[in-house]
Amino acid sequence: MGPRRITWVAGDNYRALFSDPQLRFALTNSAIYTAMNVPAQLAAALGLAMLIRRARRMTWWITIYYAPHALAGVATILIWWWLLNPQVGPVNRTLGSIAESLRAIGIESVPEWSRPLWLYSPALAKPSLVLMNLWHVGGGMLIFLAALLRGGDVLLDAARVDGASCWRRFWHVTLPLVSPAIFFNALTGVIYSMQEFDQPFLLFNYQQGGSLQFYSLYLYQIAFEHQRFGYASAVAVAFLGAMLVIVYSAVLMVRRWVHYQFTEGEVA
Amino acid sequence: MNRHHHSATTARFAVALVLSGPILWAAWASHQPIDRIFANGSPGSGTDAPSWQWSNYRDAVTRLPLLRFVANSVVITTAATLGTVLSTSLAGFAFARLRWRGRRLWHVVLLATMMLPGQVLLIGQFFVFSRLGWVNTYKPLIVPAWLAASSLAVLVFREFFRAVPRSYVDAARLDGATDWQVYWEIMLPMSRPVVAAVAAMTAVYHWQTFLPPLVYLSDYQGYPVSVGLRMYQAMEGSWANLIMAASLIAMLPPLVVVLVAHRVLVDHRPPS
Repeated sequence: MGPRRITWVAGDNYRALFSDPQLRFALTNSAIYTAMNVPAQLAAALGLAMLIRRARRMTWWITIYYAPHALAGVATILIWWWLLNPQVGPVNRTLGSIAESLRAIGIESVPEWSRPLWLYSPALAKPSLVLMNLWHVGGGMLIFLAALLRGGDVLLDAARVDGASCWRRFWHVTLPLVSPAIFFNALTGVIYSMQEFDQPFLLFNYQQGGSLQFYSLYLYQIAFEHQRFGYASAVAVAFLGAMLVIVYSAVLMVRRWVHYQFTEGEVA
Repeated sequence: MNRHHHSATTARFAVALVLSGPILWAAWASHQPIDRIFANGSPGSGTDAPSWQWSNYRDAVTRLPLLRFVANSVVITTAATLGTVLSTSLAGFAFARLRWRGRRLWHVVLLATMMLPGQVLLIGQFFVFSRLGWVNTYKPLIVPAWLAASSLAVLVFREFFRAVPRSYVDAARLDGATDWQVYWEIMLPMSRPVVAAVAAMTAVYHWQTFLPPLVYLSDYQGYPVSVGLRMYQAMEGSWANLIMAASLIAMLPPLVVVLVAHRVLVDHRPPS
């Protein structure tokens, strides 16, 4: 096991990148998953942070909402794998009994949603992972909460006194207040989601149509299953390049929009 | 206003219920006979008397060496956490308090490595570690932790040490303290909450991490619990109740860490 001999192949490995349909397929899958996962994570984490920002016994709520983040690992992936089992999983049991009661009150045409195939469905496999991840957004929530507690009450109270509606307070006060946290969470979210490995690796045998064939999994396969370390290195370096481009353009794009000097001193 | 208050509290409890749902179901399934899981699927949907099959837990730890996996994880996690706390606090001290050439440059490098995707490093690291003959040992999982591999922890310590008032350090120096004594006898004891936070986060991370042990370890007797749990999954179908029992056992240590450290971890006082 392991690399034995090194031969100089010049740019061959990098040229091969562009004529590798499997790499393109895996990167597309990762990109689609990332595009679903990151917005869902941001919305849920911000929602949880706003829900407990004024709560009494806040540390208590933080601990409860944060705990899944520390528990998340192989164990929770295995639990979710059974929760989402199409035949005997409790999620589909619940959907089934909802459909049952709808039928009881006369709604006959119970649609297919009452028995989704989740991980076994090509269309739902990635959303299933997104759903699993929503369970442990506590880490992102902490960052939003820190941003909200940084002088947000003064601004929100001022807006309320000025008669701003709930929606306008959210749009014009809360969002600018947390914009650095959104930026940070989005950036780290993209980097992590593009590298997602544990879930697709553990659930790989149940997918249909390669829906969980992600970039990180492909990298693992070429390196550790096919022992093509040279090509795997080229894939990894190209991925690093792509990530740097994404991070740098994100920094350029949002520079105007993210408010870094939004503190209490400004309104006083 | 009062009604708004009530609905917010209700929503908080509802979210907490939803979040605990998966764990509660796993706890229920972990002591059911397997045919009951297949028949009833959810707690309370059956009418017959509850049957508590505690032997699932015994089976979970005997059919595969789960306790051995747990012990392996304890060894790796303890060694890596100790190394991370010592080495990153020392590096953070050097960044915060010592004057040396290239300090600013290396600070930027440190920040940049935080954005580096871990998998990019994996191939190169595997190459190096296999040349060193470290494959199928715990060294690749522990040694980097002793070399301040976690740049986030270094930065956390740096920020904390920078905030320590100069007078403490100056007073110690007047008494003739060396750099090492300033670090060990003043800075580290003062940063006990930061040490606890970094230790808790690091311990949870090393307990849960899956890809590096998967890559470096080939003998299953040496598996940590994250990789060992996968063997339960490979057993397929009829083991669902044992999988739940094993998963709950595997989740117990991180749960304890979070509950013990939560006061430190979630200290939400706004910065003054």
